[in-house]
Amino acid sequence: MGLETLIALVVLLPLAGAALNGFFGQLHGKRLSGYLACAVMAASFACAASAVAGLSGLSPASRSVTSVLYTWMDASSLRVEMAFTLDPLSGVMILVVTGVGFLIHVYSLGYMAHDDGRVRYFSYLNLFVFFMLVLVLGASMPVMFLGWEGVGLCSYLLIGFWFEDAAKATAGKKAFLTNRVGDMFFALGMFSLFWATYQAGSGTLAFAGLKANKHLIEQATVGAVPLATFAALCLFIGATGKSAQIPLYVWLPDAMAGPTPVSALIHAATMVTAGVYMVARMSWLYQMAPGVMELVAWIGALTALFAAAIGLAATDIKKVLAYSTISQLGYMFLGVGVGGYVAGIFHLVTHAFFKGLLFLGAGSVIHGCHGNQDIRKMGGLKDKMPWTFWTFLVATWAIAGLPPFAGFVSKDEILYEAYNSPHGSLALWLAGVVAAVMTAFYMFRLFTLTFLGAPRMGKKDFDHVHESPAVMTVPLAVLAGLSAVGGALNLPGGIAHALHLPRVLSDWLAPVFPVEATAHASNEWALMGASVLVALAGTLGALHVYYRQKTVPVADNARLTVPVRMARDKFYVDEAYDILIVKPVRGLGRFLAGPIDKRVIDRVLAELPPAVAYWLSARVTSLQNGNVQAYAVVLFGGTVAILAYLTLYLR
Amino acid sequence: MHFDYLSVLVLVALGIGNVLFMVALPKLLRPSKPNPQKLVAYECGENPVGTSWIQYNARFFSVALVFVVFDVEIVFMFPWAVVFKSLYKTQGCVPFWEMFTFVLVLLVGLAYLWAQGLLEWVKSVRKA
Amino acid sequence: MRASLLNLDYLLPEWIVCGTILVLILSYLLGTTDRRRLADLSVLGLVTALFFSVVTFFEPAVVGRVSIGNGLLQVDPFSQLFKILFLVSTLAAVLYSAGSVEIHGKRWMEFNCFLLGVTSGMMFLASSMNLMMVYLSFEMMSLSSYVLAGYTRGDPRSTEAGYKYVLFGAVSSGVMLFGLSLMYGLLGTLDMGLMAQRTALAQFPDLHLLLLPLTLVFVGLGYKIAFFPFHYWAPDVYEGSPTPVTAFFSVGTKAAGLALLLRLLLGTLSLDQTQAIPWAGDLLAFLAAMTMTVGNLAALNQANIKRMLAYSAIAHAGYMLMGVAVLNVAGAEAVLFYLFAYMFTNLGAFTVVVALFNLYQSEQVDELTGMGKLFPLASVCMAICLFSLTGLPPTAGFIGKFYVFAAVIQKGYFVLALVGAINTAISLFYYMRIMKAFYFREPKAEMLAAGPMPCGYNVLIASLTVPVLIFGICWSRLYEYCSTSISSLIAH
Repeated sequence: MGLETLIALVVLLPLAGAALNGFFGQLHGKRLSGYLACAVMAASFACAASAVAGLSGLSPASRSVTSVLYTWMDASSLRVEMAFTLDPLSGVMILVVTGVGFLIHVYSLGYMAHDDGRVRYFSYLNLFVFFMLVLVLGASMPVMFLGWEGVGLCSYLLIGFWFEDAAKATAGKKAFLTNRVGDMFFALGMFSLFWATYQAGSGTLAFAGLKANKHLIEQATVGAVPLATFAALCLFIGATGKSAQIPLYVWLPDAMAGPTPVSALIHAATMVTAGVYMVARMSWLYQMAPGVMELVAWIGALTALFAAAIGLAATDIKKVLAYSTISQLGYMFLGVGVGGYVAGIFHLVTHAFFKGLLFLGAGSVIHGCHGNQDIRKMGGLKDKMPWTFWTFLVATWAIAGLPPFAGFVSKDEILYEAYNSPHGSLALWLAGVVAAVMTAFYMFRLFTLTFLGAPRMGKKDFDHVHESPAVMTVPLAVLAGLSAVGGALNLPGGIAHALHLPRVLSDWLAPVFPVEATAHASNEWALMGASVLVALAGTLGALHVYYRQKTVPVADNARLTVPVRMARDKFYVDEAYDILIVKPVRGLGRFLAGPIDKRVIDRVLAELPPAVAYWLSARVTSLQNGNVQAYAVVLFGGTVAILAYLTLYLR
Repeated sequence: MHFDYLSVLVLVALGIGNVLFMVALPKLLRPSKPNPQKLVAYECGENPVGTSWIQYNARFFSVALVFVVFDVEIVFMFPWAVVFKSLYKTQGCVPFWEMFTFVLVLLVGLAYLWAQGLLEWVKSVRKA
Repeated sequence: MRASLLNLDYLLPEWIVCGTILVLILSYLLGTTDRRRLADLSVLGLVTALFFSVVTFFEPAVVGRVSIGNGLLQVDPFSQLFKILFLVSTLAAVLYSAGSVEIHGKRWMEFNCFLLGVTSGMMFLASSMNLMMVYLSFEMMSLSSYVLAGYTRGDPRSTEAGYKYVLFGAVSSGVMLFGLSLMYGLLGTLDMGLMAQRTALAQFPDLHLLLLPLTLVFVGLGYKIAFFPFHYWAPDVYEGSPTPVTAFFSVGTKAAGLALLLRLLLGTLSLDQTQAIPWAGDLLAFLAAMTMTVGNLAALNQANIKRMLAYSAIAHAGYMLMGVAVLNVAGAEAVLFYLFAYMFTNLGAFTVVVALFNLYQSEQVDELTGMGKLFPLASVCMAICLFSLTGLPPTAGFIGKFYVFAAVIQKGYFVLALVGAINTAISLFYYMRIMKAFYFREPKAEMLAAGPMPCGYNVLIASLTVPVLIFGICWSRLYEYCSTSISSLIAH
């Protein structure tokens, strides 16, 4: 089977699964729908693996295969085809999406086993994977935008999956609306890029075409601002919406209202990484706008710090993980912002492993604790849920950045780039390091409070706690394995050099990022040591506070110190948005609705046009009196009128 | 302005004018003494009975239609018959088959009419 | 260009359609009175004709235009595309009227024959290259339509519809014939190909004399396509005719009229290239605007779903006339694409109406409430068709409107585009009123008693709605075919 066919299959199989479940789900029943969805994912992963294998058979310079389905739009100046390009970068992404996606589908079989809406669930989940693959494989910006919007839609559908609960439905709405703001900027960036190439006569939005025309983009300006800066900035704002960075991250914690596998797939492993992917894909554009790159790095670093601070005080197991996701995404943006594209993508991959695992583990805990999500009421689950315990430990170990698991390798790589890259700086490195300490701390806080120590829930509840079924623990085990050894994908330069092992990911992605990778610097070992030290510090600190001293986070209304109170209340960002944006808009709306809308506009614009329309309608239909002779008169009258007009006109 | 057709315009104007004149002049000159006998519609000496808007039997119409169709068929056959001999010499049997097709189509129609009973003047039981 | 008397093999689709009429009559005489069997025969004939139309569309000889009957007919991609359109509409018409209660079983065979008669008239009209042939096929189409309009014998509305159609049609045809004869007198030939040469070479400096004949011909076409101010017959006739017939008229005969209009304006008079008749574009634009407005405004007040759809058909004629008004290739291609989109959409919507009438014998929007609950598939398809009629993505109607508006704006008729936009907004109201009744109201108690939607209708509705969605997502191929057709039209 040709590579083009495989690429098309990778994308279309999940769509087929979604359609079959969506339209015919009632026919084949709830159990079969789950199996169908998983089978489709397995097939898609198999195709993805074969496609990437086939790609690796090509010479590195020509590793870019495009599969064109059909011509989507062909207006005179713009030609967009529904085409998918497989190159090293998208190859990595599709393996992650389909692989981790498959594991999460299998997990969902167990997690959603008692939910009545699971046909709908699996249909949406497959649809999401389809859109994500369209996003990642898209050969041009409109196709990527199609995927971008599509994943936003599926995210809304899945967050608000239990829509009968108004709060959950509102969370879905919040996600969608916040994303919308970002999407607007994405579209703006897209249009500006098209405009730049169109001005010179070769209007295109295909990635290959844009890259080939980058000299045009380099020269163009928007007013006084260089177009590259403008476009890069707009695209990045879009990315902050999709990837939950400052200032558009507020939807992600609320998105935890959806089922936990959804949080694992969408809000940890795939959708939120779309922004990072987009920046990596447009790396050549960002190289032309160093100012924006610096902004990206700083926003990434600040988000990492900020979210970690909130995570220190959160008490809902999923919310901690949500803030952790935001924080880790910050790391990824820090990585790509300083030019370490490989590092950023590497962290994306390892994050998919351990964050997916963390969420699935949290789901297992919630499932076992019969719906309890408050870590203050957990504890002592170590013996009751062994599989969950051990896999969760592996994941926490990884995310804390302790060697030798994957999280350490990728995070260290980012910090190395932050320090040594020409775009990086000491300040950025310090920010990353502080965030790393905090990460280790709050993750082990979470781990300790959940699994270790004495049980804090009632005895009756504790007796009912049970381990999750195999269909849920096996994916956990697989992901744990990947989190453990994933670091081998891109060993640190020094170690790889010493052991004569290849840096797999760097070499693989080399054709896509011809940027000079930061050379092997001498301070690599020192930096690595620093990373290990801070990770250990955070870990030991958390263990000391929560295990030794058996501290338990207190209730929300208890007296808290100011910093804790601020962290607990998420630094009032939502409230700030509410005061700065939502309330004024609502107030303006009320004002406009009351005196202006009701009295003036309603009368003039809302009641008048329909009244006019209906009056005109009545007049028009009054001519239709049913009298054929009258019609004939109108016919002749019309003819005469036309002739008269023409005769007079011709004069 | 195209004065070529001025004569036509004059002719038309004269025609209309003539007619108007011939209608208007008597109207002005004649006495107006209407009585019921005079106002009755002329019906060749007979006394008109009822209104003129009557329903006539539709079979007149269908017979007329059928007649027209087959009359036209014959009209088409006439010139064909006249040149048939010379056509036969140059094109062989083709003209024959062409006319055959034409007549066949109409024959099918005739068969249908027959079967539907539309050729019966006296309607007994209308076939379905 | 192959010119020969015996190119009759390129007329295979027409042969097949006419042959099907004969076969139907013969089989009826030989005893086949079963409705299903006769329907199968018609369908078989139509599908075969459709197959050959598609084959000849792609044939190189046809792309180079084949002349038949010494200039009477011309088979080119333009005509074949329209034939495909006609045959698909007729096919759908046969299928959904097979189960319709409005066409009684006893007269089913004749109904098929008349339908096929209209179709063959339309097919000849699309191919006509001679003014006489134009008139002949126009009348062939019209006469059969008159009968179809008045088909339901006992229903006074149907008789009234037929009667009005005849009267109005006769008047318009007469006017058109007068115009055609004047054209002959002015240009000295009946052959439209020769006329094209003569007008193109500007051998006729007094081309503005064509003003009168063209206007008169336009009257006849305006009657057929139903645009202002010649549309007044349409609401009454559409409402009174049996619903399957109305659906067929709203698509088929309208398309036939547009085919002739395009051939006249762009093919014969080359108005896209010459400025011979500078007033044509503005006049057409004005009429298009008036048609849209009248159609949309009148539809707002309607409670009868058939009458509402009739007015909407008038409004859509207005949108299509916009595309003709720009008098260039882009506009013509847009019109052709719009016709295809409109055909599927309208047939889909009307099939739902036919099916509902079969079940409930009602056409009032207020009575057909709660259909969303009772017939989910049909209601979803109706929703999609209504969205397409309004022109919302991702339906084919949106793409059609996009191309038409693009052509209008590129030509510079901004006011026309604005009027079109306002009209599209107005149209949303009455289309959504149907949706409101279907989904936001409860079904009336007596509605629940009627049986489920017959499977055949569900399949037909779905198969008419799927192209609406497909052409909303993947339309380039169809647009290419429209381009091929128009380029064959304007090549001389």
